[in-house]
Amino acid sequence: MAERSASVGIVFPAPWPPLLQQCLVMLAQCAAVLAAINVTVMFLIWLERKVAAHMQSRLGPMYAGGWHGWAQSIADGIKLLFKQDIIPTGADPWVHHLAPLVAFVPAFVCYAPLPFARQLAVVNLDIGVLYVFAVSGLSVLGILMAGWGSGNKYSMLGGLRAAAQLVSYEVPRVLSVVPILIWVGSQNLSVIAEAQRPFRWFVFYPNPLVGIVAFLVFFIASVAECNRTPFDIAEAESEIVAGFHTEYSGMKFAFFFLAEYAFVFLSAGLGAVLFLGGGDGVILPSWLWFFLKTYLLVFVFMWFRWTFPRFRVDRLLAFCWKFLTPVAFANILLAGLTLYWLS
Amino acid sequence: MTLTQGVFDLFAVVTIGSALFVVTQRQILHSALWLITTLGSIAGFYILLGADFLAAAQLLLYIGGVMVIMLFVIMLSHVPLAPQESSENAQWLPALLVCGVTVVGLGWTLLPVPWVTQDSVRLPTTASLGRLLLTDLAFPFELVSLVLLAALVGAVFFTSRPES
Repeated sequence: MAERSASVGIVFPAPWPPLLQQCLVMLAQCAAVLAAINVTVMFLIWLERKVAAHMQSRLGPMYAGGWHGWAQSIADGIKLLFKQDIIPTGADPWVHHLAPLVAFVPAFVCYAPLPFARQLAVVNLDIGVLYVFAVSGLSVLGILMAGWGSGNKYSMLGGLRAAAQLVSYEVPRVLSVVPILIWVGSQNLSVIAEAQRPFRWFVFYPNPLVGIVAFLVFFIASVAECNRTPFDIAEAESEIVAGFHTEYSGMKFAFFFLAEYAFVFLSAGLGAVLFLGGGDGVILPSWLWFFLKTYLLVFVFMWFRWTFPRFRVDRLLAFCWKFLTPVAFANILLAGLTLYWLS
Repeated sequence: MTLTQGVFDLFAVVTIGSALFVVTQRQILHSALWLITTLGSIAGFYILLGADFLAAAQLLLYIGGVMVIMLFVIMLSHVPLAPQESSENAQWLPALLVCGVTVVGLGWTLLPVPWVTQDSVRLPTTASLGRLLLTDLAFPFELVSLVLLAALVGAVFFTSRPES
């Protein structure tokens, strides 16, 4: 006696209750997404090292695995797994333990409503955009907890800087997306991607000025939200050792890196869906278009990092509040006027 | 017991338990972290009730905004792992009285109400909320915005140093 569950072809023996079956199917889906994201992140770390190396006229990792050091991330991962987990004497043990987890989980939960191709999202969520912003905002708690729980003044300074920066840049980031919500009238990411077919990508349609400004504000704020250079004052090596993750070693250190790169890929994917038409394109299948656009944006993230020097703390905040936020507000006004003139 | 009931009970236990921890922890940062748990599980209630927009707003504003600022202030004003403060309060008797009166008052008001129970409605709430805010509730909405603007201007005025 065997029953076939509806959504994936897993065979369960009959006496298993349906609730348990549902839970197992959900668990399998989550595991698949988690594995896919982890592999992507490992690839991104390898890519970052290669891009950085070539921008600095170096070769980067060349030995692990043979072909251009493709297995470097795997080797690093295994090494980190075996390293000792050090908890400083002055640390707050629970907060220190939980911090990497709190930073890491939101990064993965955020992928739920992202459409990886036309009509291919894990969850078809009505409040998609708001959900991503709300959940990704939780990640800063992990950084704050790491800053406090390590019992180290440099960690603490890094945590404080991260809090000030992330709360500030959240504002223009959310505001920059409002023109698109006005034009589409939905927060569902799949609906937003679908509304841009064919070749009516929001970056240049219906109003190129609004689209490009919104895209730039979104992109700059996303780089800041990912804590990446030129906005990486939370872990500025030349000033505060390594900021919030100074006292972390082994796998807990790796969790912070997994979270950072998961957010980089998420931000690039969001940019592709919101502004570049998601899976829209000719000839190639839609998932390939999505990944091409996303990896293009990921490359720009890395290009930023190895081109611009780090901001000073006060300039960073002034840039956010005195430039990006007013521009984002003016952009919303223009988007409304565009809609008014079109209708 | 249905699944919804089970999830509700779980959230109820988490909310009340973490709220108790907020007031009993001796380390102020731990209290703040438990408060985050409380606010997060309240967002869980909103999802159970089908209010998806409200749940996301709860996470975005209360945890991503208010609580982060609160942690920021705690970290700015406290030395990490400083000698722990006493959780005893000299005014425990008046506090107990006020709490008791509040609990009795709330119970007296809420218990006799015949609550309408129904399964959560899975409607897209964002569009209807937005429509209400810009039509029927436009005036209170703008009024609240004005109050917030006044608070902002006031904060800037009080914190700006006079030109020397």
